[in-house]
Amino acid sequence: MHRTVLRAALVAACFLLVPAAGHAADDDLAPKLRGALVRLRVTGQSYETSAPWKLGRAYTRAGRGVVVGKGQILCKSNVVANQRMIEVELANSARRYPAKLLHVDRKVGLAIVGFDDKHLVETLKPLPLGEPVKLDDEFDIYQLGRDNIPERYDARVIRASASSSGLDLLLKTTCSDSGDGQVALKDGKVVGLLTSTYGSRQQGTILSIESLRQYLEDFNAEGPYLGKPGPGFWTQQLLRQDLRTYFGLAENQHGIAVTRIVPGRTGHGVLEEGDVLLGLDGFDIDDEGKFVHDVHGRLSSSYLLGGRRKAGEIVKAKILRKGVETDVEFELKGQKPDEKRVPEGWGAERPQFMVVGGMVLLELTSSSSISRSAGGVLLRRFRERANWDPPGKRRRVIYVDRLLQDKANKGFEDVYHQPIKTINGIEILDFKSVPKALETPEGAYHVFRFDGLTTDVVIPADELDAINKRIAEKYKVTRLRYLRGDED
Amino acid sequence: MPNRLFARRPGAWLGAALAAALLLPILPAWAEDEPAKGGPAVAADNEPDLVKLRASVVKVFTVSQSENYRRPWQRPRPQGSSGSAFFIGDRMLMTNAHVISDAKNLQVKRADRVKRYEARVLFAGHDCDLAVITVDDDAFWEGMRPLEIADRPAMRSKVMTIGYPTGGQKLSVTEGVVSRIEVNTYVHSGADDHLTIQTDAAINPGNSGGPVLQNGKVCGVAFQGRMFAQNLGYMIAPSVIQHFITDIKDDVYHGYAELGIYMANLRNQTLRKFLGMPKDQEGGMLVLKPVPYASASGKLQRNDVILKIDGVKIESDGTVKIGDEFLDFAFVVEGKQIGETVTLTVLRKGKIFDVEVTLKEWSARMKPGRVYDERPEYMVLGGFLFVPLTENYIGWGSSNDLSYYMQSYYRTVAEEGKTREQLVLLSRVLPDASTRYIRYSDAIVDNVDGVQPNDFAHFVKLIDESKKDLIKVEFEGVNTAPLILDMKKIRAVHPEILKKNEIAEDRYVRAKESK
Repeated sequence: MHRTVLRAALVAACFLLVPAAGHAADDDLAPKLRGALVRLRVTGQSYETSAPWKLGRAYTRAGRGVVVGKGQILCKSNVVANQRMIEVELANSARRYPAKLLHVDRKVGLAIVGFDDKHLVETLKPLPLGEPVKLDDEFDIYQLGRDNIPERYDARVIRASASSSGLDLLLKTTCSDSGDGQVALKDGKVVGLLTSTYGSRQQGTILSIESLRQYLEDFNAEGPYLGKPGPGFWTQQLLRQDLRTYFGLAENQHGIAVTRIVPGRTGHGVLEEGDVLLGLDGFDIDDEGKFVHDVHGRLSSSYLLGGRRKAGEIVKAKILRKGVETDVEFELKGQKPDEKRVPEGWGAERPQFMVVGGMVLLELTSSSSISRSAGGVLLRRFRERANWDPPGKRRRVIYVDRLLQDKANKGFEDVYHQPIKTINGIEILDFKSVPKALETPEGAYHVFRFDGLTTDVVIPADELDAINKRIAEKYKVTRLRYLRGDED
Repeated sequence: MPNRLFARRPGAWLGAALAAALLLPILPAWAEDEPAKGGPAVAADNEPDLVKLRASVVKVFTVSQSENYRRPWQRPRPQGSSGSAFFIGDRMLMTNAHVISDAKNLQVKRADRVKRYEARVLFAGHDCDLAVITVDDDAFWEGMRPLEIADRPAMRSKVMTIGYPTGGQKLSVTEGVVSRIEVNTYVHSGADDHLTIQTDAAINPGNSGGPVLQNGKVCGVAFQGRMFAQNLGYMIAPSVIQHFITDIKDDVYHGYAELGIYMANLRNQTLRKFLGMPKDQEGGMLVLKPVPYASASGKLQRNDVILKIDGVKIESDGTVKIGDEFLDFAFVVEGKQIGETVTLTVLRKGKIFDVEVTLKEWSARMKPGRVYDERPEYMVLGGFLFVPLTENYIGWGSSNDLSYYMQSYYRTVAEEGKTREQLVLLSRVLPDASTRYIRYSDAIVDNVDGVQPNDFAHFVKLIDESKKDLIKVEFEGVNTAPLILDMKKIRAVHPEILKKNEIAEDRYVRAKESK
């Protein structure tokens, strides 16, 4: 009884909260908008982290997108995360049409959804890309609102902020729906994509047209997608007098110190530890690592190294080395997911795993759920150093995520969140080396040794298959392994 | 079963966080005592000894002042608390170490007297939570009968606790049975495991240090309870009490000896076969790693199997059978004093042989657990506060990461001769014009101008003896900037910073212990 009343009250409250600030779209823009704004319905499903042979529950997420090219809808990357199915809804319509993911760049935070449905091809027309907007510029935010009716909100730029992934603009806006890909339009042209809102402060953030344009150009260019340069070297602000003295800066010199350089990445071979970066790409850098942008004002210099550049481009720099100012140039190197010892977490793709003697082996990723156990501390350190450590010999960290208990692994209950160092004396450098190491038992046994302080795990080699089979039956493990290259 | 460190486990107190020492904090209103009226209170007919016992169990009033590990030049405000103690003869009262730790003022009061007597600490064993205090006034001891220490009580046998728990001023007596006997963590240090007896006799705050009696003899000292559980009180076992009494016979408390081995169980049959254990060989514990600088270091190696300790068989879960009980084999070492030997029967690569281990004192630097009655070490250098990393420091509210770092450091990384005995932190930066923009919090020092400090004293020496104007201190972590100590400037601002922060002494550094 109470529940019914409560539910009724909630429904009523929801109606009351429907944003009142939205205006109907302008008359002359309306037909164009109707042909460019879409709502995306994404059905997502990922594998269960605790039982990687199993798909988790499917769910549906909604987001928004804007048509920016022939057959291309631009949207936020998290809207299409773990997608299994994407459907498109059009303005003033409830019908859904099939679409598919063409590309996603999680670092930039953007994705492109493609479509070839006849009705969509006929109805959807791209909006043109506009010029950069700057501080105090006013424009509109458009979205498909309730019942997919186009709505317009006011927006004005109040601040720019940049990072190695792109340029964001903070807005004052009347739009209070969560930022999930609403389009920012000035004079009928796209000037940004809304990524977040802070309703109580009437603020929001858009990813700037500079970043959108760069992403689309990279995607549409011939040849492979280059993406943003990866991190290359570590810097240190030089506001502190002690460090300024140490790095030998004169009173009128300003910059940031290069503290560590990752082998093989941006700056390696050109920059040295102890160099002070005085200028980049024609801009002076201050002691906090910022530069003054012509349009957007003071921004982080990481924007010059990554945010406004593509991998493979050459950047010029002015450095102070051993008291002498020198001009250098270096290539901005990309970082493919494979080049990280600890790669990004799972998407919808099937995670690599193996079940061996009841141990569930996983690859450490940025989203692995790690305990604070003794072994977990080691895994966390691997992860903290993920960007810093070159993958080197140990390309991946393979660890025991959990133990499916069985008489064969009795006594090994503490082997939990432990990185595997060797199997049968062979170093485990990535997942591929696991089955390989299992081909050559140590005498009559498979011997697992770990980085952490724990017991060695020993399994009789000739019984492994039977043990695996027994455990698979007991715990309903539908497949014992999936390594890249295995049949899906 | 978790990997166990013999007798002391670093970080074990995390798991025992729910256990609480039973010290009764005194509220201001309680500070004044009600005078005891008349003679002995009700002595039940069936407990004729109680009247005599009353005189031997006293209330302890403590005003303690602990240390502030975050601002080590300051002391927190004094706190009043009360506990219990009992007469063991020779002008000695036994109580818990946590009753008298960091005591600035100590008084005791007999149940049959009004007067409070000034007392002082003779010996404190923070690793076993026992202490002995005395009173210099001869009048205090008149008519007091020493309580004898009994043997370990049997399971389900009746026991009686006597003490001064919360809820009133007078002596309180509760009864119950022995409900469990096992090796457990003593929460006072947080890192020591000894034999513990659990009873359902009510043990409450204020009972701490009071005797638990059986047939008029002491079969335990009440010392800790468990939150969110009912009828669960813990007492220190007679063997631990005896160990303490034996230890202090030479007028010095040395503490418990350490075998110092990280171990794992050997319940897995395949692992047993792999290690070359005969099929009929039962029990045994697997050596994962001897603790650096501890007793067994250099004597045992990884994958040794300890089969027996002093001829007593070790079960595959690490227990030994003593009487009818299976007790953690720490119990065997627990009975020994520093300098005594333990004979371990070891299986290594199929061969069985005996290893004699002389029990050493735990190196103070590597010893896990909280310490008491000790000043924290620190050094203020201009606007920089350096401290050694200790459990006490972590207990004063640092990030979890520091605690896990410490655990992982000592458990996984530490190697004798290669590992620093103590980690040094740049605890924080004091606000001053000279430290503008400089932000560090709990940064772990890696080296001073390329030299890795072995411990805090070594770190201080490296700084003091450096002749450089600019000293570079580097930290652990992938992106923690080095600190450049501009010594000229630091010397110039140092007095002013001390004055501003009301720091009377800019350092307290203990001389390095000899290994």
